[in-house]
Amino acid sequence: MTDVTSNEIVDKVLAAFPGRVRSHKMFAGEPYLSIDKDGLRDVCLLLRDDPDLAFDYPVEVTAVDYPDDAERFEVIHVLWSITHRRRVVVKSRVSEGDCTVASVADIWKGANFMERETYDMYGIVFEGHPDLRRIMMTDDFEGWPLRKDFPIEGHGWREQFDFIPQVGD
Amino acid sequence: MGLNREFESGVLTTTVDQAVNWARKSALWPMTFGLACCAIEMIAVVASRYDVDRFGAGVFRGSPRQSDLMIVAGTLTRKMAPVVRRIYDQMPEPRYVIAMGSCATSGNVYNTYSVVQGVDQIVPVDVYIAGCPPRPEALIDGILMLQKKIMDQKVFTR
Repeated sequence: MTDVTSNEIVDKVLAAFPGRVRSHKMFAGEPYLSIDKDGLRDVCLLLRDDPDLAFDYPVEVTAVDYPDDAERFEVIHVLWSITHRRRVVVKSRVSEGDCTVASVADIWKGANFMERETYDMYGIVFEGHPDLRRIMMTDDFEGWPLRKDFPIEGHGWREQFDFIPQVGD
Repeated sequence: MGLNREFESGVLTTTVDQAVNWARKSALWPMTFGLACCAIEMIAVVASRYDVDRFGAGVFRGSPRQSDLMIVAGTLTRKMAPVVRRIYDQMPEPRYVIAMGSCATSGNVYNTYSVVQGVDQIVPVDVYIAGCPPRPEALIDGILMLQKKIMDQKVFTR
């Protein structure tokens, strides 16, 4: 199985959006698509709506920070088709200067919280998201903790206890 | 003379400190404050095998206003810290705090942006218990240690 370089899913996407796919590969029997971030929504809609693909379940929306790359962040969508019982991984690259990618929260409702989490941890803005707020860190938190240049001890937030009542309060 | 003989049987003499402290230490009402895996050990302490009721500390309450012992069992994140402090403030005095496990004591391996490096930064701690998580015996030892500490208190001075 490992020498298979293409499959039905990849072929469909390639046929529909030949200019959008940067590269693709098979790993552990599953297809990985690397696409332009401008084509993310088109590819996602195709993956969901084509009855032969029918990727109806967003397993994961996350990101990876490659600090040395020009396009620093890789936004990863892992999708599962309950109908066909198979998986596809869609990756798109985002640069630090233009740290935005289209939201797919209206395509799959389940992507809503996962996009918020990715925004919370990496500062990647999902354009078109209905409610893009921090989800794990509090609203007063500053910085993007999972970026590689974020110090692991943070910037002192963990030692800031302004909620403790003082004498005279 | 006659008085001594009259009270020979059926009367105990003690100090107010002794009596009040004995009453306090014999009926510790802990707050359930499980934050992480230490909570599982805390639950085991309450259950039949370890049975912390033997030491009078088995009446776990869900409300801070009914309890006088807060067992902080687990990793305290900065996001949770205001909650812990508020619950501590809601407890009636005299109140005691046990920092259960390495996380509550010092943050453990979680030297990260979100984890408070020891609950003693936000509430005064009476007893620290080592372990990750501590075995139920260790928590019982901590409770006994706290009871010893309570017996040394002065009731009318702080």
